[in-house]
Amino acid sequence: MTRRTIVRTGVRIAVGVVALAIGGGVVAAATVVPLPTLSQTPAGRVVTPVALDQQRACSGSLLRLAGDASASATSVTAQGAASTATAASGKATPTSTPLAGSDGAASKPEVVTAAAAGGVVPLVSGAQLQNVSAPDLSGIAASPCAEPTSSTWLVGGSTETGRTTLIDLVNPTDVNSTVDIALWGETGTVQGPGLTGIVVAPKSQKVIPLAGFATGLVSPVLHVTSRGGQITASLQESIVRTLQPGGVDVVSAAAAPSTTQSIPGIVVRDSDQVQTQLGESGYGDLKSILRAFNPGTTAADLSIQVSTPDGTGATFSVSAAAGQVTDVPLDGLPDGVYTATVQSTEPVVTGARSSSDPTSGTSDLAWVGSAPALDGATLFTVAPLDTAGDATATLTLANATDRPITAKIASPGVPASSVTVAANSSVSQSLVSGRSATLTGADGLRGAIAYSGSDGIAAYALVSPSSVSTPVTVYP
Amino acid sequence: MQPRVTAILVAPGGATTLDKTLDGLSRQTRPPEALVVVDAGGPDSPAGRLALSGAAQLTSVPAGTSLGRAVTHALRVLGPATESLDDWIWILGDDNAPEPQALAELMGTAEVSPSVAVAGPKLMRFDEPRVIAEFGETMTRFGASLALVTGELDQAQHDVQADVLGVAAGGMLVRRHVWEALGGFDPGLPHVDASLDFSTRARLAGHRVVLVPSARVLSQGHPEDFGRTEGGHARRSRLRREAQLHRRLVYSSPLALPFHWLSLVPLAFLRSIWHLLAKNPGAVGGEFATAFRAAFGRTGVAGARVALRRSKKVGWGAIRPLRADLQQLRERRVNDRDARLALVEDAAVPRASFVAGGGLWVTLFAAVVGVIAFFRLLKSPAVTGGGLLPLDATPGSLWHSVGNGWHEIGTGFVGPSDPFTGVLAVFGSITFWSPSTSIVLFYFLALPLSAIGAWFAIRRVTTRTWVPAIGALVYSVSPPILAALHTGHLGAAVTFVTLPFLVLALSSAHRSWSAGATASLLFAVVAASTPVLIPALVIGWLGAIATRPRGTHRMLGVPIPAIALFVPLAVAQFGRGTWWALLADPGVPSRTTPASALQLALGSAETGLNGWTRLVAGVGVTGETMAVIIVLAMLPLGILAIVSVFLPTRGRALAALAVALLGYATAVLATHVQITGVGSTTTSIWAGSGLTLYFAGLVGAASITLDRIPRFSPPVGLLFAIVGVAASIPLLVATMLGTTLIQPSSGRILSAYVTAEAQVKPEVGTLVLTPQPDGSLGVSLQRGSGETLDDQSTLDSTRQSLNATSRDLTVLAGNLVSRSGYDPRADLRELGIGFVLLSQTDDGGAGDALGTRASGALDGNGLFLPVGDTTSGQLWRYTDATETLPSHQPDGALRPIVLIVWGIVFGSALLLAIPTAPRRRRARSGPVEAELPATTFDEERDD
Repeated sequence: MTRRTIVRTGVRIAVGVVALAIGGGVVAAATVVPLPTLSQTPAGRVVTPVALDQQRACSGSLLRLAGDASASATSVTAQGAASTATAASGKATPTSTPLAGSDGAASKPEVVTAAAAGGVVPLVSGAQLQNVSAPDLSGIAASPCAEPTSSTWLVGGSTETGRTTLIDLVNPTDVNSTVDIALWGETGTVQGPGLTGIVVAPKSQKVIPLAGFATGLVSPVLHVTSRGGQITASLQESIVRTLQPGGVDVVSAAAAPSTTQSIPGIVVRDSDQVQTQLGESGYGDLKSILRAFNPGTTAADLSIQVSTPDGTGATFSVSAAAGQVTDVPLDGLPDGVYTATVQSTEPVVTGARSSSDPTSGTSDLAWVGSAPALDGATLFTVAPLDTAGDATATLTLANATDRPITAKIASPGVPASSVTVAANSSVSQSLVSGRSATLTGADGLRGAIAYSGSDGIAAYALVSPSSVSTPVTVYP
Repeated sequence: MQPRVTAILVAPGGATTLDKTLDGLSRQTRPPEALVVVDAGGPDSPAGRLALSGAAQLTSVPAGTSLGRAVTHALRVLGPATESLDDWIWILGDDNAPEPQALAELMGTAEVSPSVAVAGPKLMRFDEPRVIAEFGETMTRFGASLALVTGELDQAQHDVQADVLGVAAGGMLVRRHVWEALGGFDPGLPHVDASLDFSTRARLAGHRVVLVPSARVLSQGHPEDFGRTEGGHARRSRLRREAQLHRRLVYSSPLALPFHWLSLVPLAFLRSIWHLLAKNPGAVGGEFATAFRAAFGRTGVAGARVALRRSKKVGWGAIRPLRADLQQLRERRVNDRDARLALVEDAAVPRASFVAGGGLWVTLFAAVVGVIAFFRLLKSPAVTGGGLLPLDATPGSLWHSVGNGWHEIGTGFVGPSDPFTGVLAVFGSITFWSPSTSIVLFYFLALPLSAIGAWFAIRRVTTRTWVPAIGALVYSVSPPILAALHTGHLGAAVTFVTLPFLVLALSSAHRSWSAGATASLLFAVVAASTPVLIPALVIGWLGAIATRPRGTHRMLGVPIPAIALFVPLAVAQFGRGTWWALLADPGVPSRTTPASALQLALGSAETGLNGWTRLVAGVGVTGETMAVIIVLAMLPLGILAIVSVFLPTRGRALAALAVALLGYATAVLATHVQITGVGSTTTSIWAGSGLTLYFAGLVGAASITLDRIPRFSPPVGLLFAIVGVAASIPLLVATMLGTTLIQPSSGRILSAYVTAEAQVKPEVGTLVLTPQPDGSLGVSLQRGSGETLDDQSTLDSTRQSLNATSRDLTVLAGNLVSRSGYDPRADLRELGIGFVLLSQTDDGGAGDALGTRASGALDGNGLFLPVGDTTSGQLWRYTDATETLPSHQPDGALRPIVLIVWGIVFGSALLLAIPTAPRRRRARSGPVEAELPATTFDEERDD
């Protein structure tokens, strides 16, 4: 090897090594050295929707199927009249406008409106209560005037013999609403003609008996969706046990599927009498139950904790098959207003039923759906109790989170008071008939109002105004 | 009476040949009776220092005087002419050193024939006295001048020439009375053709002009041209054209004159196209300059016409036999061509044949892979998704998107289009009956085309016949192209296909105008398709110039078309202070998850190692394990590429690796530049464009290694290729698994309902609402049948602020998706909105919540009628949609200017790119083509 070759090889290797070092250096530097990033923000803008008059739709009086012989089997007539209380926040005044009843029935559904003024979105609320005592319809039924929405979960009802369940759809808007109903029972999905494409005319009510789709259904759960005008949906269940009225109640909306559900306001009363009657034929549904529906495709494991504000209660563990409705008996609970907290491995919807005084002839039932977490200032109204004898109203606030929450309750003419709800517990507070109150700082709490008197029981969950009018960021 | 000869020696400044000429004069066997030296050099000229004796006189004229004027001046100094017909003047330039017998031979011929008024010697090259510089001049039927003989070895083969149309000025012997009767040289011809014109006029005056072969005078160049800088090809062709036009106007009959005058500028256009086709771009400027000067300048045509008419005694028919006929011209052309071919074919080039070398098979393989990978797109007229949308339905509207003008995106704006729109317009025009189909076609052709390009590019740098096939195989199915096609990054895919051809063109740009122009067009295509590569392209271009400095003049123009394309956009982006947005990817903005620097080094533009992570997740292999496997798969390519620098001939290897490094750096930087807005977020520039360069460099370097290591045989190469291709497998099967972003499309963008309405009302607006994953709302306003790919604009997608109209749009959209007390009717009418489309979302989070809210709000809005669910989302119709919609906006005044400039630049580049130079006809083995030096022959082609 000549000297020249050695030199040339040396240069070649040196160049190669330098080239390699540069390449390796660049890759290493790119990996290790944090490079600055030029990141632009897209041009966007927060748009606050123009304040809109707020509406709540009340479904009106209780209904009776085929009240006279001349009408068709599915038409309804009104039974009495519900008493209504409405309220609005600030300087707004609630205005009630009647809507057309189903098939011309005098059920007097109405829409409560609070006009927006000066860019402020007012809070508005209303509640109805009716105390009936007819041969086939007796008890107390209470319902909130609900905000129209396009998706409602209803957990409750039954179409067994003697049980009548009516689907009550109210469209308070100016446009037609096309309603689709998905129906599940204890054996899974229920298919049927007429479940979809139900048209609800503007500013009117439409009532459909659930028995038209499925009879003998023990545990129905409905998901009501609408296109076009937004609606409110509820169920009315009434029970007749061989000629003896077993009560009436309105099933209001339950919270959307979630792995955490909380049902405050379960009134357990007269547990001794209930226990006595239970064994008799046709009295099985006196039992307090928690109804859970798993809309997913995987079976869910539910852990249910039922407790009163003072901590008495019980715990249940069940499994909910996918696509089926499961009724969980809440056995052995002493009297009290309970909150059921459900932790599930899959999203579920839940509701609870309880019954009162089966022996006195004024037997009643109450359905309460799981309450959605409160979000923002929430105005609620206590239904007028004048017609309901000795009935009282109780507010239950439940905290399913891991931290205590302090909420403020302000009622017109009454000094505001604070309520602290400890983690994983609940608080009850009695309410004044017909009054309204605003809950603030209650984000994360879930609330319900329960009515209980010698004529019967009723309950519904509190729902915060939906966020459909909150500011939204828009990127063109 | 004894003939009397006065030699007039005109010496310009800086003449270094004067001594030799004076020496030659002094040795004449028949010395001239008198000598006048005209010093045209101004102060310090060598002639000024001469000490002359006897009959010699020295006079001076200002510097820059033309030869004709200098001679006239000398004659004035000599005093009035005698009446004798035998008084001669002998015109010599400083370089016209005569041989001793020159004057004797000239006079010998002139004396015996009284009809001869002008006699010219045989001009020999100054430094090669055995080669004829010029021997006689003539002109064609159209007046173009040409030398009868030039550049031939003197073997007395032309010594039979006698009567000619013209002789050169240097060494011209002319009767003084003829000179004075004709008025000397035409002052309108200061540079060239003066002697030809003079001889022609002498002929027309009834005299003879003859050549005297035995008289030899040296010549260094153009005698009429002295006193000026030599100038290049462009100047010479301008002077010749100028002289030709001047003579044409002087010689023409009065009737034809207006027509000649009118034809000046149109002819300049036609001849410019010819110059470009003939790879003679330098002549274009002069062509126009001379045409305008001849048409409008003071050229002394009138005076020359008067002089001609006064002296003319015979008709033009008399000189017809002396003109060059077609036969002569054709002969001349054939000889030239043969001479050039002889030069070209001496350069031996290795050639792996495309068919025998496996190129065809690799191309076929790539085509089959392309068909398999995009099987679902077969038979579909368009493709959509990712960065893609269908194109406009007609080529006309497609071309309308090109250039400055009104852009129907967002709320619309007047401004420059993306340069990429031009590429799309060319695409769409290919399948003019259905422009969108061209993109589907491109999906199937991209792999085979890149295989062809890579094959030819690699052949440039290798000698083994099987190496290009291996390299082309690895390149054509490498991850960047497949990833780009799968995610709809059309620009990156176009770049991938174009890049090998650009390398090919750029590597011979220093030798040929045609290649240079082709390179400039491809450069523009790549820059327009992937602006992020512009810095890398400029560096590559500078590198190409630096390594081949002799071809600099041909490569200087390479970026010009790209610059022309980008100037309007650059002005707009600089104007609003967002110059970096020039680098934004053209096409539909789409979200990407940029890869880390290490993943980029493994060739994956987005996280997920080109889909491997997702593919193997089902089998239970983790991403880390997969990364190791990919590293192993990429190892052969990497090792081969690295080894290349240790081999001899590392220059090319270093260049290839530099390209790879440049590509990698571009890819890394691209992931750090997030400028393109996609709804609520900005997305980074697609790193795949940089990876294209990265892979091109790696494959090039690896090919060089395969070429150089003696032990490597085709099977080794094939093994390397198979391992390399394996890295792309998930991308190949992605369409079958349905994991790609792109979808076959019917070519419809919005729903059929809107499309049908747009047939009647082409300006009907559709408000498209797209809930974003973070719970915000993206909104766009689309006109007619919807936003097309050619409507897209980076100027819109990189916008940082809202204008008044888009602010109105946000207010409208924000209220429409809310239960709101807002009355949208005024806005809807003003924006001409007829439909609202709510895009489907499926993120299970805040976006879905907003979608539900928007759907509910619109459903509950009495102004809107639900049309139903379409493939792209829920559609509502605005019931009070006005019949009078905003008409098409004006395009602005800049549009024609931009389009004309682009037309000129690209038209010229195209004409120049058409290969018209002789091609090699035979192949021989020899050194690698890319290493050949620039040949002097090509240098001459500039002339």
